[in-house]
Amino acid sequence: MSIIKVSDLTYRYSKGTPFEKVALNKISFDIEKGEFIAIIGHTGSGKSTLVSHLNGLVTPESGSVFLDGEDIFKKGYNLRNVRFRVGLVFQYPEYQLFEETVYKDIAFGPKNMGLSEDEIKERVLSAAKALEIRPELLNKSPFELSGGQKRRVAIAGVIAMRPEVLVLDEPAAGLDPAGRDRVMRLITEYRNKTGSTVVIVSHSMETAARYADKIVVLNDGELFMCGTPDEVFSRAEEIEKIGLDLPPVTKLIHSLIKEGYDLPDNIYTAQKAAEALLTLKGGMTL
Amino acid sequence: MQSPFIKCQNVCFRYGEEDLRLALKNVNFEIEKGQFVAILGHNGSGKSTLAKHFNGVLTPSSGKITVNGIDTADEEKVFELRRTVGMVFQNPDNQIVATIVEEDVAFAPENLGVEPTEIRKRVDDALEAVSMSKYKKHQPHKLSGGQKQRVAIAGVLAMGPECIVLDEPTAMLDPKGREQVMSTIVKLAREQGKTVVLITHFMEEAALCDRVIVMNDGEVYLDGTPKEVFKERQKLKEVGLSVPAVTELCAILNENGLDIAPDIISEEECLREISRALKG
Repeated sequence: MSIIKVSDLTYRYSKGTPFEKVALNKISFDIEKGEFIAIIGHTGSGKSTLVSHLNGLVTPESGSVFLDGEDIFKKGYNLRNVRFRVGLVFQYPEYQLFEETVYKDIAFGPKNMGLSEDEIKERVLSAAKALEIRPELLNKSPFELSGGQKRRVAIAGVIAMRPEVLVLDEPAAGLDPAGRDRVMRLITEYRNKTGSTVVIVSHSMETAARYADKIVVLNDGELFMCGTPDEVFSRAEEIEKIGLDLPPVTKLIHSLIKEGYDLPDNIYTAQKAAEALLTLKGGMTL
Repeated sequence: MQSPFIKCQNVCFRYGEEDLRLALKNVNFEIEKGQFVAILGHNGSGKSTLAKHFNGVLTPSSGKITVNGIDTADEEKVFELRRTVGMVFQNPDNQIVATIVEEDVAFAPENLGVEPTEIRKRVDDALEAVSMSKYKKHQPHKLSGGQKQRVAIAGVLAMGPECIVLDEPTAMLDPKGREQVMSTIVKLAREQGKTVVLITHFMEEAALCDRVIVMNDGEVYLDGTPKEVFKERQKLKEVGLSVPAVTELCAILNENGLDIAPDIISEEECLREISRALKG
């Protein structure tokens, strides 16, 4: 059974005012247990609104979200519990750090769950380790850290609650190339180790293709496409039309296909493109 | 010979008196008037620290920077310096002060005591330069990220600076917004002849400039044309940076015996080279 089922989800902003805007229109898709999902779409496509529904922060106008088969917006459902089971890391989460020390900041979530001091400590240390936060940083003020360190501390704070589903809104935005790769690698390692379900929101087709098992594409509040990276990439031109950027290498390969070359249409890294081109050029392989 | 527009001589900087770490170490370079320069470097490499020196937000702990002949440490000339070099930051939301786009753009010239008729002209020209004239009566908070950032750039242009320094202006934008802002920046450099310093994490953006300076650990690590700098794939990887994807692809093909120039930096060039190599 799917761990999360999004069913006919509809949401309007500023309902009943002249500024009313449909943010989500009858969105339905499933997230299987242990799956790595990427939600992509241009700014204003509804990505962040959608993920805010996954842990019940925003209540839909119609439709619902089912967690383990149960409607989380049903009357009497314990929404507070959903917040612990579905951990949400917002965009630029480093702006939400507030405690005196890194340790206390990471401990904030587990503390609110009412865990014992020992259990909290164990969770803080393991979350810090998972995000490669050195032990000597734990007693520092979060405000003394670099941007990349702060980002990792904020993610550790959510992971410390051991959510079954980890949702991250643009986890790599604003970081340098090495920082981006590191955060994405740590998220992937965390998921592989714990078997948790992971949902990331991204502008980038490349990030989505590289890490996710399944990609959900939103456009103007509608579900535009949902499939494996290969399925989504084979419809690259439609994706480009709705304002998403194709990786430069994908664009190049698609141009070559148009010129008549027999190349696969699901390529998004330089390495894979090189392999395909060398094979085409006469059996040369890397 | 014309003297350089920006000249850094043995610039060192540390954030605190007791801070042992130098955020900038013996930085030396010159930027000519009208040059379009990208500064690359990983987080903490000193690139933003350096940018803040160009209009005197920070001044060197030792060494000297002159901009258009003004010593940035000369407190008496700080206003002249700020008028010469305008800065645009990462987050457009932190840079917009007024509730109507044209009022926001007028903010700086009003503060400089510019004549009202001249302000009108500057605001119109600035909004035109960033292709936002249509939105002059709009409310900034309802614009997209890319539009807001262009309004922020217009606000700086209205001061009439000769040089614009942009600190990761596209980092918080989506692909569409990034493209709008980058084409605006390229236009300022190429058509208006502004001296532009662009700090960025995006290699593809740096590839559009005349020159790329790579900072690492507070020092100038590489300095050259985009083609020269991006040829140093290995060296860039060592300091946590990369090369544009098409450069990477051409380099791999070249290493594997395909007859392809190893210094390709644009998508068009790459397509042309590969088409040629496949036919050959």
